[in-house]
Amino acid sequence: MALQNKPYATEYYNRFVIAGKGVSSKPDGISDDFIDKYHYYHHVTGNRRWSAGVPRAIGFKINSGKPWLIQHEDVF
Amino acid sequence: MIDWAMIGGAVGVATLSATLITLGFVIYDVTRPERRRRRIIKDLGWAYFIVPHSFFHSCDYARQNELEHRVREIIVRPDRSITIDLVVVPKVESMPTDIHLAAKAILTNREMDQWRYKTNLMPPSTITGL
Repeated sequence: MALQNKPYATEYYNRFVIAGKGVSSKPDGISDDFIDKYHYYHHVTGNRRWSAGVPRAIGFKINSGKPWLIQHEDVF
Repeated sequence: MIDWAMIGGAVGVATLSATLITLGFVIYDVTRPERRRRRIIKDLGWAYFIVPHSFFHSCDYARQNELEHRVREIIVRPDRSITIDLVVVPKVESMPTDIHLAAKAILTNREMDQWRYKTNLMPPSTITGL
């Protein structure tokens, strides 16, 4: 299946934030976000401290594409 | 009469105990980054998809009610632009510099044909958390 047909995130979009830096970011060249060519993974870059046991809400606008399994993955 | 031999022995035992305790702390501290790294690789935490309250904001992939739900898997229609909400509960304190949203295929062409045959519909995309 072609990569263009797989689901990919078009924007980091957190609806649990009303205003500020964490609402949205796009891979538009202004922010540091990017979509890699090899996997079509959306990379959200930045430094955020995640405390153990404290839930963090995040969100993405995605294009669901053709039928696929989407595995959410965090890389530290 | 002071028994210097007894005092010397007690001091020796105390010194040895202090040395062993200090050594334990040092070993614990030196190996901490490695243990933390292994723990991050082995057991990072959980990630769920959120189906928010019906009065919070709309949800593109589930029916809502007055309760918030956290689910491990959602099913969405193909070829749609939707917004997904996730909650991540890390087990280890960290400062991630990069978050990936990755997609992996599970349905083969044969499985898709079987789905179409059964339902006469295009199969949905299945999205799972960690």
